[in-house]
Amino acid sequence: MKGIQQYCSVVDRLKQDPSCKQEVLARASRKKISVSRRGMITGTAVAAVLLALNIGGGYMLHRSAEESGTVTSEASEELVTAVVTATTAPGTDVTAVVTKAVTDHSAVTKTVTDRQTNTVTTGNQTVQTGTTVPAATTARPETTAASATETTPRTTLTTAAVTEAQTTTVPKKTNAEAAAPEAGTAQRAVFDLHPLSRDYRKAEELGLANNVYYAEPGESFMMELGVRNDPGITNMDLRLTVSPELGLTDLWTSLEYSEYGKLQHLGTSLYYVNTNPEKQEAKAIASVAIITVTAPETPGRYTIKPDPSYSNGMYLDPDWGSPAGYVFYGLDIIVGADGTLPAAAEPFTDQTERTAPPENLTDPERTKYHFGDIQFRYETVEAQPGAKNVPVRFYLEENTGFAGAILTIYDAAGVTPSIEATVTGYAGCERVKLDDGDLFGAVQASYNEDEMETRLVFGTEDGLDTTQVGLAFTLYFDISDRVKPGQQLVFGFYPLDISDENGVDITERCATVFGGIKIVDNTKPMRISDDLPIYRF
Amino acid sequence: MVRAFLYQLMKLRAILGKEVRDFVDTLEMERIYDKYHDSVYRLAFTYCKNRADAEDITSEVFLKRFACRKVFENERHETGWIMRVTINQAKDLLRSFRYRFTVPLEEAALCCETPEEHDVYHAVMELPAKYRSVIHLFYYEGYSTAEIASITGRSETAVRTQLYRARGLLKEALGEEFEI
Repeated sequence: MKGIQQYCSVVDRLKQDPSCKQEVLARASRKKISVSRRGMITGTAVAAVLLALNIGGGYMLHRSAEESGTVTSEASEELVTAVVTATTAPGTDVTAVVTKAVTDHSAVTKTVTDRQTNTVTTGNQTVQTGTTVPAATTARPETTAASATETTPRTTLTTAAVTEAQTTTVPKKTNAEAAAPEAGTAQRAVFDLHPLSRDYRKAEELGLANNVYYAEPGESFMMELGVRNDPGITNMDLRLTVSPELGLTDLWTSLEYSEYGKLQHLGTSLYYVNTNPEKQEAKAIASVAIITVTAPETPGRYTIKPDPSYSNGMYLDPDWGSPAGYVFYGLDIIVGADGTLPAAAEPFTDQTERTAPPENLTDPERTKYHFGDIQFRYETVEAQPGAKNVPVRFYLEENTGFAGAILTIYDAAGVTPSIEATVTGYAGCERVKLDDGDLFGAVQASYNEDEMETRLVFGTEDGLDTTQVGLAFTLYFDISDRVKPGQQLVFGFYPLDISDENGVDITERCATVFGGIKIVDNTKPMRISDDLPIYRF
Repeated sequence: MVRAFLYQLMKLRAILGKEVRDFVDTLEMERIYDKYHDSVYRLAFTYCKNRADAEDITSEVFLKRFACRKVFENERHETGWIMRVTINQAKDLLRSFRYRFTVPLEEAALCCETPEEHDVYHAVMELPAKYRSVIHLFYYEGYSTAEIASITGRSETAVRTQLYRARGLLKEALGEEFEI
């Protein structure tokens, strides 16, 4: 007689190798994982109780496996030409053009024109220009300081002026001044990376770009990303440039921002905050996250600072019409300190007036600041609030050849995928409406509502050229009624698993370039995709 | 005020002795591992059918569990969460292209002692993955259909339907002599 009991008997005999247990525990130890309810009982659990009592100010009990892994920032050393949009509108006071040299952190060139003080700041130097920045100025992103000045001719920022600025020393504007509210404008948000519960030297007091912390070799400590004068963040794509020797682990989301925990570690050094709509309120002082940092054993200076080349914006305020610049103080970690301070430098200051979506996002040539052998990009489209079935096309731009890929796309706040049909056999997921592109066989898509994540699986068809480029697929999204004109909805877009024809994992060779959905005014004729320049291959 | 208090709490945690925390952590991890590893490993095995992958899945599941800050309501809740993570992890493996390019060695036959066990076990393992997991969770782990629905993210009706179809397929494969 055959019965299901015989299946159970066989399964009963399946035993795992006992050595696996030690291996798992060792891996947990290497990753510095701490079991939540016991190891964190003195800090987090109590904080959680406070939060449960709605006292506020605690941290999200939320961490994914990805977040628990040690983060290094090899990719951050490969930064390419920065593209930071500087756009101002009539009546605004400042304009900024920031450029960054390829792969050389020390060669950062920053040109800031401040209408209030008529100064030009390049690198860590500031000079008086004696000029006034015209009110209506739109500085398009360029790859060099010289070319940047071409887009702002009325500022009289010539190459010579920049050169002079680089060689002339004048008293620079203090950080406090930079962070201070300007007349007629809202207060500028100030982001600040600093060690938690440890003594450190404040950048604002030292006149430096970064806070300074003297660490012991191999020391682990908690670093907080705090913010002052927050006008009410809706989204923040924050890319940190991290010295590769530093380890980042244990990302804790502050409940002050993200009730459903969308601050994530994605890729090497990218953190994304998708703020709970109910939390989008102005805050005088708040904490965004806490990250555990491990200093290396080797003496030296290691830095964590914002990556200004990441042009999707540090944050978008609820309506683009209000001033929303920010100052960002990074963190210098000095191991084996001799008491010397790093060279003085200005903190990264974004004085962009976000009265309009960044122009560069519509220009594919200007969005190519991530490079890889295999490069995906999704376009920027326009849509009105409440629009249905807005197509977003995903392109394969660079391709040295692959056999199959799994991509993941995290929804932006304000969009939901248009559901076409339910796929059986895929737990908790429904199919996103999707059109196959020109390159592949059927693209399989699944949508996980809990994670607000779409996964796409596809492979090149037999006999086709695996190195071709072009339109990969199109996804459709519904836009929320609650979004406001001027907002830019940006998806998280990352490769999970890409293999070549031999099954070798080549995921690390893949890069993605973000576009987004721009929300436009209801009263204007809607333009979607086709009216915008699309990169053809 | 509250913020300052929180800072003090975080600071307290930060200054706790590393050794003490490590010791407590290890004890807790061992407790969790010992409690669930058989279930996780066996469920993983039903998906990938080989020891090496099942062990990999098990490791990943427990690392996720250790890193998880979720507060579980009760043991059943925790078990369900772990089962769900196991299933997701297994599906991720099955979807990976590396997995598609390899043919895993089916090692379950090594555990069969009689021809009947061999037939039944292989009949179950030949079922599509969605039926296989339902059979395993229902008959081996003893979950109710409602619990399976919660673990797999399907509706209870869908689980019942899959269970019904899985039984039908088993009867078809093993003949009338097969009894649940």
